[in-house]
Amino acid sequence: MNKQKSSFRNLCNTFSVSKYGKFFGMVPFVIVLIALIVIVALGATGGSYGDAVGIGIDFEGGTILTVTIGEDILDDVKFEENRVKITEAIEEFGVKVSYAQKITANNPDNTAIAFRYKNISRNDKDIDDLNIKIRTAVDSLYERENNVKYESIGATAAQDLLSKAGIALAVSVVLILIYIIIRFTLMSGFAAIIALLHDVVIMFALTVICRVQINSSYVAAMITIIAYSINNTIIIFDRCRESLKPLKGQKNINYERIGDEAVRSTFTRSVYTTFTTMVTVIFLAILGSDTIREFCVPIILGLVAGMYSSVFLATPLWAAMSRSFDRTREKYAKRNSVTYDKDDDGEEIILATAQPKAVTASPAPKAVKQAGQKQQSNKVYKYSKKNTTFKKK
Amino acid sequence: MTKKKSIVVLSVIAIFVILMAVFAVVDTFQIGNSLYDYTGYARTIKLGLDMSGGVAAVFEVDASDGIDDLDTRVAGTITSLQSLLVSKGYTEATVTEGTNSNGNKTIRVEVPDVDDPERVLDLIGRPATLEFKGENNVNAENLIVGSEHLQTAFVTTDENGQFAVGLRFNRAGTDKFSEVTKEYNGKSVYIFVRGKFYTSVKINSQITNGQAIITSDDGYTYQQALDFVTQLQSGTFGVKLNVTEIRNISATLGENSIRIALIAGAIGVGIIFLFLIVVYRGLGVAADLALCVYIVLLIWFCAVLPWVQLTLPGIAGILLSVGMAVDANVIIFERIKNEYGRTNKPIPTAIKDGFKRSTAAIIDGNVTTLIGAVVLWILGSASIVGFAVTLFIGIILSMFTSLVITRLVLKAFMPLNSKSERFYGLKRKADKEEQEEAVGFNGQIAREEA
Repeated sequence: MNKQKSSFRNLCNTFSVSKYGKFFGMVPFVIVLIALIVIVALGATGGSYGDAVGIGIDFEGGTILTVTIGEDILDDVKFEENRVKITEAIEEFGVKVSYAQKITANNPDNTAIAFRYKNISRNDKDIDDLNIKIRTAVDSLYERENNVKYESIGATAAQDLLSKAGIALAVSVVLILIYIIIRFTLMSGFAAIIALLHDVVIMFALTVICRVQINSSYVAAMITIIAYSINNTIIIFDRCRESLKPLKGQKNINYERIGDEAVRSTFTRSVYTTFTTMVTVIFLAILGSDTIREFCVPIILGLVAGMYSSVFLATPLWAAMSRSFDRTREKYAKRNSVTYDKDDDGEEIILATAQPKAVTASPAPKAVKQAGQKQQSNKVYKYSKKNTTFKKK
Repeated sequence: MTKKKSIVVLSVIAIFVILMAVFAVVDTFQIGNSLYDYTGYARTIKLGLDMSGGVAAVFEVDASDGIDDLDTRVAGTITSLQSLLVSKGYTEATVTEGTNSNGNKTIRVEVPDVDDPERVLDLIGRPATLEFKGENNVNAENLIVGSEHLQTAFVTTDENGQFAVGLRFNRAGTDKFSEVTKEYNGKSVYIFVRGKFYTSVKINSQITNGQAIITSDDGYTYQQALDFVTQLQSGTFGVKLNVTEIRNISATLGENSIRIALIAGAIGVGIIFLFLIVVYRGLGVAADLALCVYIVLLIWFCAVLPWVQLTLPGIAGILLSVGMAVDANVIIFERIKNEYGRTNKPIPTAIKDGFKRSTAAIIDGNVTTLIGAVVLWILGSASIVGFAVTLFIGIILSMFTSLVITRLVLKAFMPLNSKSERFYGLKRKADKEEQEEAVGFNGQIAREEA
């Protein structure tokens, strides 16, 4: 037991996410590819890409079948028996019941169950034929005459639910990006937003692969995951920011090392947080009805995707992007100094090339000096622990 | 903090949590010999259709009036109904177009958290005829008919800042209203709803632009103006609606969805509490206390804030904010362990510095989520707003409890046992060179050392 723990700790201390960055980047592509195959295959055979994706009754509308049974089903157990029996009869015809509700009226004899299911065809006549068949089948389960009626209904989700949610998401992504750029760095902002987009795509892909129906609550599930993932990413970037503080103004910063260190030092927390957030959702999924499960499964998948993206994608991405950003800036600064060179004497060049870092950072005298020294020795500054500990007195 | 003071602080927090928890659920309570009627605030949280059901009213559209373009008028009526319900605070209500087995168009209105079917009709103002007449007599000639002439009605204010009812007429209505106001200038017209006298309005001048406001000499209260507007609006519906059925419906998520959500929540929170104590010991106890404060406050806010109508998405918002509240504590404790492990600081200083160094991360993480919540609140459609609101409350509370309450509780712990490594699950790293992060099995480590 002890041995296992210490080997786990060793792994935590030496594990490098940057080293395997490419491999981690592959996984999402594979998942998206599988989802695309599923959509294309089902869409081509079934004829409807909406069905292939799993768009639910909230967005597409369907049929309400009301079965009047009587006061028997006021009792919960009896209700459940009847619900299961009728659901089976309906699903024989290839449709999936999305919601079942008890309906009560003043007269207990009129107590009924309403089943809602998405139509599997777009043709009005086909829908009607199928509904008549279903009505006959359900009718034959009960002696009572004329107890089944159906009604077709439109989408319950407001028409603008998706478009409004999309606009809101776009606006919040921009605002969050601005916030992260202000509080962190430009590259942190982009890395975090890429991780966020990854979560949206992956969660959707996993939902398609798992054949979960997409209803109006799905939008909320998606936003939950986005919020969770951004928070997760920021905690890791906070460590990076802290490690970078004493290195300000230096060249050839080993971003990979800083990223790995940040991931390692927050890994315990990432695991704990995912666990504590997930535990309630898992119990909700275990205890709840099919509809609740349909809501919980995407969240569980999304939590995993969110943790994956912030740990294994955002950080290596941030490191790679920061490095190439620095390099570009350096090149740009050099090129500027070369054109400068044509007009002026040599001494000026050294000053110009020695200061590229000071362009953005407020040029603290120490930083300029460090950069100057580096220029002469051309020494690669590796990230070192000594630089990052703050000893506050 | 002295020992005495810290005991007082801890007791106050504990009593607050217990009292809030009791007031959340009790139905009646007794002081002396008198029994007081009271409904626990947790029971007053409004629930959506998916959690608790409500009332469904189905209206059949009467197509016999022979006017063309039924589809557009039905769509217009649906939009009017939706905005009417949203304006009454029923953001989770649904209005759906359908076709019944006779092939007639229907409009299905489902309103959550309502027990009395009649209440739905109160809310949407009993879609019925709205008539303006020249005298207070039902049989008098109609001057203006709501469904033909009135476009919309809204609550507004007059030039003195008093609440007033605004009217906007459609093209036919503008001409008609102009005629009526000319004829009845200085006299009163009488408004009849469903053939019953509702109110009378005095006309002060001829109005030709089809826009008018109705003011009251005493000034309307907001509620009065809103009630009037509801009546007027339901008179503008472009189609005639006949009620075919009004019935109670159960939760779409299944009969027991609230009970299931509560059980799952209780198990989840229980596991989180245990987890925090096992992993962080004394620090975990402080976090658990702070989480208790968080939970009672969250429930209280959900009950008192008018925008909260709890649905499955709302529950997701709560779950996420609970996750973030726990997360904030975990971040702080990992920092404290880190601070204590690799320096010679005493426990109180390590705790103080741990808080200091984790504050930026917690605030940044929460603020980004908060930005998302606020944008959704402003731009999202009705059903997303419920989610955004619960998320918003949750995040604010999560920041407050983790940064304020947890710190307060730990400060209060200090005078009692500031030197106990064992209680706080803290440990110094023996090897200074290997001062890496503690991995979190410190319960074990502390025991070994002890």
